[in-house]
Amino acid sequence: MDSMSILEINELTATVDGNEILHGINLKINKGEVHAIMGPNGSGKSTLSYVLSGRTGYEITGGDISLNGKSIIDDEADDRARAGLFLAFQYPVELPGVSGMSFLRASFNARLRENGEEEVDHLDFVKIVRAEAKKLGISDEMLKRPVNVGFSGGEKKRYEILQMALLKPSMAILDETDSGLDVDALKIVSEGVNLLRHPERSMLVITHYQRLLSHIVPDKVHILSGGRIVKSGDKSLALEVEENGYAGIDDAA
Amino acid sequence: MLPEFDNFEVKNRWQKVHIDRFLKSGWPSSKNEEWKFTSLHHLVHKPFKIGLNLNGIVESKSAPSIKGANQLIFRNGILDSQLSEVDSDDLVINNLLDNPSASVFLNQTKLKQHPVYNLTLGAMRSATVIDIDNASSKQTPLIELFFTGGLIKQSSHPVVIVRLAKNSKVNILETHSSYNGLSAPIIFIELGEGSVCNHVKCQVADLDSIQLGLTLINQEKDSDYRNFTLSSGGCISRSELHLNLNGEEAICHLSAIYLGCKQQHMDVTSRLYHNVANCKSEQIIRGVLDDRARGIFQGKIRVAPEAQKTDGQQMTRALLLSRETEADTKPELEIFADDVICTHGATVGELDENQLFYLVSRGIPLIKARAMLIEAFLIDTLSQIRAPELKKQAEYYIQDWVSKSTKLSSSTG
Ligand SMILES: Nc1ncnc2c1ncn2[C@@H]1O[C@H](COP(=O)(O)OP(=O)(O)OP(=O)(O)O)[C@@H](O)[C@H]1O
Ligand SMILES: [Mg+2]
Repeated sequence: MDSMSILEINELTATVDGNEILHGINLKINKGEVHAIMGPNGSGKSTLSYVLSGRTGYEITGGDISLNGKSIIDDEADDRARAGLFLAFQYPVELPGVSGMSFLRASFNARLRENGEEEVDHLDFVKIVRAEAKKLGISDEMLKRPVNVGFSGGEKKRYEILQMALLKPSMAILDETDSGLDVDALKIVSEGVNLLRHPERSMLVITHYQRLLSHIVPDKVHILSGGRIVKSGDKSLALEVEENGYAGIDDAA
Repeated sequence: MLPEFDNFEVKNRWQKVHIDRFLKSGWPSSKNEEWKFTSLHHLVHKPFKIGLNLNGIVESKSAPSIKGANQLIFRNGILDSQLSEVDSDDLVINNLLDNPSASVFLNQTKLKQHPVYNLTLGAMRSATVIDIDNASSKQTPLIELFFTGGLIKQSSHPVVIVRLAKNSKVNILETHSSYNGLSAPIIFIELGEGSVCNHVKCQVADLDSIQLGLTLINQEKDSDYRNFTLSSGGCISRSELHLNLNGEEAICHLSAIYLGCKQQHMDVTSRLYHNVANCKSEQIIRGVLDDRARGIFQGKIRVAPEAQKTDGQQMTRALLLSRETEADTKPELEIFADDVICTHGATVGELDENQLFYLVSRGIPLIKARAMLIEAFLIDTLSQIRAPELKKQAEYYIQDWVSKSTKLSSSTG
């Protein structure tokens, strides 16, 4: 085990409803690195993100995942989250009746408790949230609504990044955070993400577009196809995909 | 089994009529359409003795107490004037049984054959009347009706009548925290013209008890009645409400939740009568069932031929936390006017996996995530109550039930 790596995935196979979707994934992400995953629709990108975060119904049938040097495949989703894993959802979930503030505070305090720190009360927390929300152009009015309810597509994605900013994960997975964002929102969100780049924080950015990667410049780019990583390279690989599509790359694999 | 009336002496002679009617019909069986889902004939196995005095302990759940409330405490169905405390000058309190015209006042033709109505009118030891005439007061008085008891083989039959004069207002918190074996209270509220009443009822009695509450509401012109009812106690619970809209432009909002676990049988029944034109009624019902509990909602809306421009809405949703629960809904719309809007809807579902994953993926433990979603499911029911101190009580009992329920299910499953 390399002490520099935060996430290490070895020969990972996983099934959903009995169908094998991931056919042996190998991936290593070092401290502070940003990796991007690109790949055709249905290639297994979101599946990988769910398997990593421990969603029930996504069964690991072989291989291993370790976070900060420890295997997490037997841990529940909430344990993994408190251990520093974060998933920004491709489709953030609406929670009618759940107040945004109490949701954010519950997750924030769960993390504090895990670290043996004192929980924050409502008033202090509101201050913390407001400060982070401002950077992402999230209004107070939006913070008052139930979680994601009535948010536009772009607002939902910003709200995901707000949560990431609050939870300060050591390993963040961003699943198509750019989809549904207009040009300006893309800029705000990317800046938000870049602000969170940190030598102690790694990111796995799933996207279809080079556009995002010109804002959030990755250290490495991987192509996922048919449940396998078929090619890895530096940021120029994303440009190659943009130009020629996946056809040529699949051949090379 | 029927309650024991051997050597029972009524307070007023006319009560005998009700006892005879009750004894003649007995507990209703499922053949009685009104009691189709709650066959007391099969469900009530024990005989009970009618509560005649104030014996037994005063038990109270640890809900936050409300400062400045006018507290009326009933033990075994009888008003305990020693423990009760009334400060507000707006309230005049009497015992209706001292008045010979009581029988006329309490006579409800629609309820002539109702078992709980007959049993309680026959067995009651007092009928507490609260008259409110406070149109000119700035403040809205709060009445806390607290029902408790201490004897398991005993039944209690409290009767409370609240009469609001023209443009009067009141907030009522009704709590049933009884250890009596059977509790069959009748709460009767008469809303005079333009009067306003927020009424929160929390039936959080002991799980071994039988709870058969009857709430009767009459509304005059322009009155505004808002009811929230929570039922979580009793092995058998039926919370039944009859409401008459008798004056135009009257509105009512009725919210009810039942929370059942183990083998509880939770019945919410409402009978709403739009008797005149231009009234509005809204009903929201939410049920949460765990283990092998059963939940029932029967909701009748009757719109009389002259009740044009009626707006009647009814929506019921049940959340099933275990596979062995059962939720039944029986909406009954009887509409005899043509220019009306009446809608009803019913859904049954489970906790949403997608929502649960979203919460746990943020590090929130599963128990807490479940609790958050159950509370979110119930939260709408409190939106119409306009008295924060009443809302707080309701929230307390919701949270109390949810946290116990989610902890239990995580330790067993
Ligand atoms: N419950 C399921 N049962 C069977 N197959 C499933 C199930 N869920 C997902 N899949 C399949 O797994 C494959 C991978 O899906 P996934 O959502 O991971 O793709 P993706 O790479 O994220 O695609 P996109 O770019 O469209 O977001 C798809 O072929 C999908 O149909
Ligand atoms: Mg996807």
